[in-house]
Amino acid sequence: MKNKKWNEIWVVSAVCLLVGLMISILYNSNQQEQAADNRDLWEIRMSLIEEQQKQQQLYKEIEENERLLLQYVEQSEQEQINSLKESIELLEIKAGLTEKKGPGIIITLEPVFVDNEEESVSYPELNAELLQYLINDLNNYGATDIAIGEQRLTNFSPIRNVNGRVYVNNDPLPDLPLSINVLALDHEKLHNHLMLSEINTYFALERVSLTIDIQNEVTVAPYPHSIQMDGVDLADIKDGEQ
Amino acid sequence: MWFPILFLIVGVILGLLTNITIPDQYSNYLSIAVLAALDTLFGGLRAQLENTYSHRIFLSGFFFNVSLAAFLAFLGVQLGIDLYLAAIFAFGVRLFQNLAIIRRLLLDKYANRRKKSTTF
Repeated sequence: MKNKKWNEIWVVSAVCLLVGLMISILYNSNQQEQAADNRDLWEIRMSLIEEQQKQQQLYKEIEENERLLLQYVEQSEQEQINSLKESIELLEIKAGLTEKKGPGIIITLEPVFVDNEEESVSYPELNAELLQYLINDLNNYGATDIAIGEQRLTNFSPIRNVNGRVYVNNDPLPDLPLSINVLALDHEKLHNHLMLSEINTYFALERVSLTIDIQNEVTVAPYPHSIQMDGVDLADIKDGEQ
Repeated sequence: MWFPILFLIVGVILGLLTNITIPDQYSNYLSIAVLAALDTLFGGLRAQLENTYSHRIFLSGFFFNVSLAAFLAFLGVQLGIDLYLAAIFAFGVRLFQNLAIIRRLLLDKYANRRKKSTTF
């Protein structure tokens, strides 16, 4: 009788062993899937370099901020106020709230009239997509400050079509001809890039000609309104890091 | 009583140490088989507590359920119907039922034992 019972226990134990084995194999296979890393050596090296650069960038930022903090701590109250004012001025220049001068290019947009006796030719008009394309190109080639007519472009500046007119910074642009003043770190390179760019063709399709002049002193107008920061959040800060 | 649990743990450790894996497309079958095995185990436990445990039913139930579940999954893949969902549903419901009954039986046992000890 006792022997039979032990027999049963052994069988149940064997079944349990099987179940345990199955569970752990299933667990193993699921784990394996997530951990699979099929990058080759080159990709891993590239991502390592990327991370190292990021780290260096972060170290540099920390160093800069620490120096600034030290400055604030060491200075007297008057000096503190002065350096705060300096910081504000610097930030205003960065944000585009001040007039800025420097080497750059002036792009003049002019209407082109084609002689066509059969149709009455309408006056060429800009559209926002074309202008956005041009601005993207400029930014891509290293432009630092851009003003379309009297409208300085900031990080918040919209360019859009409203009732058939192009609005920049929520103000309508005047009719053609129009000049775009651009500052760049390397304005000659920017000029060369623009001369080769397809942008000329796109503007020509809309019967607008682009004239690009390279100049040693270009003035870009300040941003005409105050910047609205409502609804703008710090995206970089994670929870708990504040 | 503790022997099977010990073996279960030994099985898990053995599987983890050997690091055996199965291909991705078969993991469906294994997951259902595991569910069926668990169902049978808990069914056996319940039968033991109800004093209706039968050695043959337990053993045949284990292998039959596991292979039926795997076969159902296989059939589902061949026909393009998610038949394994039926197996998961059936075994899941039974698992919960068995667990509920086991809980009730254990509670009853506990209550009975307390009653006995207080009457003495």
